[in-house]
Amino acid sequence: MGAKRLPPQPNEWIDRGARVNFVFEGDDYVGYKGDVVSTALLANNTAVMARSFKYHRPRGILSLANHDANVMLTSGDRTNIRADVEVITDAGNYRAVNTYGGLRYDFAQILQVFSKVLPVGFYYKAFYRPRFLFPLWERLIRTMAGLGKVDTRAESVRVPRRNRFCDVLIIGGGVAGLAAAKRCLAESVDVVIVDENARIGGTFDYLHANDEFAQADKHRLLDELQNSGCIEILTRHFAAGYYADHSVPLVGPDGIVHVHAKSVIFATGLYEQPAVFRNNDLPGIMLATAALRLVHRYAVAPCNNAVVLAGNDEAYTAAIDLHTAGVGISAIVDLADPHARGDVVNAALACGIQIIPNTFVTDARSKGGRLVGISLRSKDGATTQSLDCDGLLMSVGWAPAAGLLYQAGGRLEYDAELGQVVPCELPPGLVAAGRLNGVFAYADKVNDGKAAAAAALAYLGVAVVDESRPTRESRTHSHAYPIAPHAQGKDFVDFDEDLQINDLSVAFREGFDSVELMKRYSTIGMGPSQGKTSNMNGVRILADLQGAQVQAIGVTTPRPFTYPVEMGLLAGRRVRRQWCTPMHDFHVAQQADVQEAGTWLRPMSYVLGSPTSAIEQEYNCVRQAVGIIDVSTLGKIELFGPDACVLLEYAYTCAFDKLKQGMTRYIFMVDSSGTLVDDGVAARLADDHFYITATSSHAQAVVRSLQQYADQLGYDVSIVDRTFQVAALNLAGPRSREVLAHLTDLDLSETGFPYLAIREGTVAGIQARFMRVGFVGEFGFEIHLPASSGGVLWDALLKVGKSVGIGAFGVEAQRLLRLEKGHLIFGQDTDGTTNPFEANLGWGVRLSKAQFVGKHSLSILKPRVQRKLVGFTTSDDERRAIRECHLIIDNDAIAGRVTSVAYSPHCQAVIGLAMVDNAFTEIGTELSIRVSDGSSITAKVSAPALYDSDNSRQKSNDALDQATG
Amino acid sequence: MKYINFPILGQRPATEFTVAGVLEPEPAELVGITAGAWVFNRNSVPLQRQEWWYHAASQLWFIVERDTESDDILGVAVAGEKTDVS
Repeated sequence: MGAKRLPPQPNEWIDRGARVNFVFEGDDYVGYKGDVVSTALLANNTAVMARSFKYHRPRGILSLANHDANVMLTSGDRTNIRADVEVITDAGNYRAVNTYGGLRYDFAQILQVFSKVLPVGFYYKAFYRPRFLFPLWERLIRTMAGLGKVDTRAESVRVPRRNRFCDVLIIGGGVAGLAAAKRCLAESVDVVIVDENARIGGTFDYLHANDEFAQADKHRLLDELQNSGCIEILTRHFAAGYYADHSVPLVGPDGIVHVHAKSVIFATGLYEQPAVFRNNDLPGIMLATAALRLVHRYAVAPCNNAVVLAGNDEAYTAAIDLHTAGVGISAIVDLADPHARGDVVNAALACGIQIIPNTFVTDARSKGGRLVGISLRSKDGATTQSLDCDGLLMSVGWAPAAGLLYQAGGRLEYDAELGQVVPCELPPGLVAAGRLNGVFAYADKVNDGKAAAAAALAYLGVAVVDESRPTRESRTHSHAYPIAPHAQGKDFVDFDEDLQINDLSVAFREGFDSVELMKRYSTIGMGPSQGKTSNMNGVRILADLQGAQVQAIGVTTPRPFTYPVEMGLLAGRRVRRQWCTPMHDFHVAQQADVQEAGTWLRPMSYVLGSPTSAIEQEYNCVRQAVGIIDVSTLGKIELFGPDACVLLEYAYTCAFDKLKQGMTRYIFMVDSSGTLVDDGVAARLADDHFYITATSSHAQAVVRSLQQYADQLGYDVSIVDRTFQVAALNLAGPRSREVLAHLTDLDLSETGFPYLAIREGTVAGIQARFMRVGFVGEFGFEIHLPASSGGVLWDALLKVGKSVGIGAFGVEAQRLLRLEKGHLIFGQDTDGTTNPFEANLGWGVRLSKAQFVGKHSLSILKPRVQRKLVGFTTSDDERRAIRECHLIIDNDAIAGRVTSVAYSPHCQAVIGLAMVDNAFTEIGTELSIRVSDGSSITAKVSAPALYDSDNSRQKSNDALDQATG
Repeated sequence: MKYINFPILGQRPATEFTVAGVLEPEPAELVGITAGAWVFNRNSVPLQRQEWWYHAASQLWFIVERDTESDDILGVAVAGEKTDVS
C-alpha cells in the first residue's frame, strides 16, 4: 500500500547498482545512489517527514523541487538541510528540525488545538503588556520559534570563491535554456549554463517525458552541448541573486562561482502552485509536477490510488502520464468545465479515469498523519461526495521563477488572459525565455529559447538574423482562484508559517490591505521558501478581499537569495591582511605575545599571554632605565612642494606658520563635523618639505584625505606614503641619550637637539631621522630609518644598551606609560563623536585660520562643550574591576564613561581617563563607576596627567648634559 | 560586479575604489545655509552628480560623473588634473 519504488524508468537519475544506507529519525533506510532524502524516504513508504513551524503538523513532499520548505533536516553540524536536494550518502544521519520529542510523537502538535487563539499578529498583540511579563514571553517564544539549531562547535571550513567571466550566462537548463545554448554554439561565444538540479534537462524529464519527439531532441542536444568543449555546464548550482552589471553568484556544493556575464538569458521556468482548501498540507497531497518528478527521475510512485485536482490542461497530461507509469489514478476533479480542454480529456477517459467536472476539494481526511480521503463539492453546491484516496495531485496553476528578474530591475505584469505574471520590460542585455516568458508548447519553448539567444548575441554585437519570438499563449494555464476557504480553517496558504486564509483576512480587516503591508504583518512569503509556493495565492486572496483585479494588486519583490546560502560559503576564503613590521622576526624570536592590532601584528609584551608581571617589568625598564618599542606601524607621510604647508593648514586644525625648520609639533585632524579623526607629529624639514606621522590604523585614510584635499584645492604638492618603506622605533627612558650616544655622532645635548626637534644623521652607520618626541612621557627619541635596516638598529641598540639594562617593551606597557602621562589614544579615548574641546585639545585649534576642514563646526562647538575628558584615581583594592566603557552613574542617570583604565605603579592606584559631563570635571569630584557586577566603585577626578605633569623628564637629562659638557 | 573604465588605470572593478561622496569642498564661508545643514544633510533624490572615487593602490582620486538612478557612469576624470568634469 502507499508509495513504492517502480520498475526502472527510461530517464531515471538513480543508480540501482549502488545501494545507500542512511538513518532518518533513528531508523535505518536504504535508497539508491542519486536519491535525495525525500525520494528515498518515500520509496520506503515514509510520507510524514517533518513537522510544520507553528502548529507542528505532519508534513511531507510538496514540490520535490526545493520550492517549498516542508522538509528540513539536521545532520551532524549542518542544519536546515533541504530534503528535496540533499543527496543521500552512507554516512547520512538525519533528524527533522522543529520537533519536540521526535517526528512521530512531537509534543508540540498540541498547539493545533490552540490555533484559534493564535491569530495573525499574535505576538504583536499579546505580549506588549503588561510590560513586566515580556521577558518571560520572550524566553518562551524564543524557545519555540526558529528552525534548526546552529552547532557553534562546528569546525570552520574555508571555501574559496571562483570568478567566472563569460559572454552569455543561461540560467535554467530546461527546454528553452538548452535551445538558447545550442543557438549560441553556432557563434564563437563563451557560454555558461547553470541549473539547480542534479542534471540539466528541466521539463524534458517530466512534462515531456512521454513525448518521443522531445526525448529524441533532448538526447541529441545534450550530446552536442556536453561535447562542444566551449560551454560550461554547472548542475546542482543555483543563481542566488542578481547584482549590478550582470553579476550572478552561483551557489553549488563546492562553493560559490561568481559569474560576470555580458548578457544573461533567464530560462528559470515556473513554480507550480498548490490549491488552498482545508487540510491541503497533509502528506500525500502534492503538486502534480512533484509526482511526475518522483516517477521519472527517481522511479518512485507517490501513492497507490490518486486523485488529480485539475485547474489546467497539464493536469490531464500528468494524469495520463502517471497512469501509464503504473500509478493508480482513480479520478480527475476538474475545477472548471473539461469540455474546453480538448483531446486530453478523451485520452484521460480512455485510460479509465473518471472525470468529475466543476467541482472543488473542500476537505481532506487523514489517518496516522497521511491522506486517506477527500470531500468534494460541486461548484453550484448541489452535490457533495467523498472519495477515498492516498494521493491528491494538484495541477492548478503556476507562478514565474522571476526573483532574479525583479532584482535586475525588470518590470513584470500580470497577464490576465494567461493568468500569469510575465516580463514586460527588461534592462539591456537581459532576456527571458520559455515558460517564464509565457510560452508553453514544446516547439514554442524551443523557438523562444533560440530567439532569446539571438537577442543576447545581438546585444553582444554578433551579427545575427533577428528571430521572431513565438507569441505568448492566450489560453490560461493557471486557475483564477484555486482557493476554497473553510469555516474551520486549516486551509493553508503559506506552509512555511502555517498561514491560513483567515489570517490574511484578519490582516486585511486590520488595515494591512496592500500587498507589501500584508506580507509584513501576516509574514506571508517571509518563511524559508520565500513565497515560492504561497505569494501567488496570497495575491489572489488579496485581490478577492479588495474586490480588485489581480493585475491591480502588484507583487512583492523577492530578495536574494533564491535559496538560503550557508554563511561559510559567503565568507569564502576569509582573506584578511596581516602586516608585519621590519622587526617582526625579532619579536617572534623573543617569543613576544604578537597579536593583531588592526591590520598589523604587534607585540603586546615580550612574554606569551602578557601577564601583568611582564607588563610591569617592561614599564619599570622604561621609567628607570631605557626601553625600545617598535613603532613602525605608524603612518609616515612625506610632503614636498610649494603648497605643502597650505595643504597641512587646510587638513589639520593647528597653525603651521610658527613651525620652524628642524622642529616638530603635535597635530590632529577633524572631519567636517569637527570630530577628531587622527593625530600625529608634523616635522618641518624645509620650507616646502614636511614629514608627518599618523596613527597606525588610520594611516591610509590620512593619505587619502590629504590627496583629496590637494586635488580638490589644486595645490602643488606631492604626497608620498612612506609607511611601508620606513621602520620606526622609540628609544625612551632616562638613559636613552646615553645609549644612543654610542651609535651616533649627532649632537644629542639639550641645546644641540632640544625637545621636539628633528635631526637627520646616521645611527649604527644607517641614515636616519631622529625626533625628540615620545608618547610614554620620558626623555626619548623616535628614530625613523629605511625598513631594510630596522632589524639592524634594533639589535645594535639592545647590544649597546645591555650594560644599562635596556629592554624591549610592547603595546601593553606603552598603554600604561602613556596613561600615567595622560596622553590620548585616538579611537579609544575619543570616539566618533568627540571634538577637540572635549578632549582638552582646544589649544591645538586655530579658528582664526582662513579655512580648514571642520572650521565651521568647531566654531559652533567651542562655546557649547558639554563634557570633558578627565583623569581619575581610585583607591579601591579591586584592581581589575573597572573596565573601559564602564559607565559613570549619577542619580541613576549616565554621567560619563570610562575610556581607559589601568593600575598605575607610579600612583600605586587604579587610574584612568573618563569622558564626563561638565558638572563632574572639577578636580576632586567623586565619580561613581558602575562595574560589570552592578556594584559601584568611587573614583576621584584628577588631572589627566598624573606622572611628570610639568614635562621635566622629557626635557632634561642632567647627568648626561653635565658629562658631555 | 561593476567594471568601469578609468583613465590611467583602464578597466577596473568598482570594489577597488572608495567612494567619498559628492564633489563639494568645504566652503570658506557658508552663505545661505547653516553649518549643520552643510555637514549633515545629503540629497538622496536621483540625479546626475560628480563623485569622489579613490583608488588606494595608485593613490589616485577620480571625479566620476554618475546617474544615481540608473547607476550609469557618464564620465571619469583624474581629479588632480581636472577638478571640473563636463
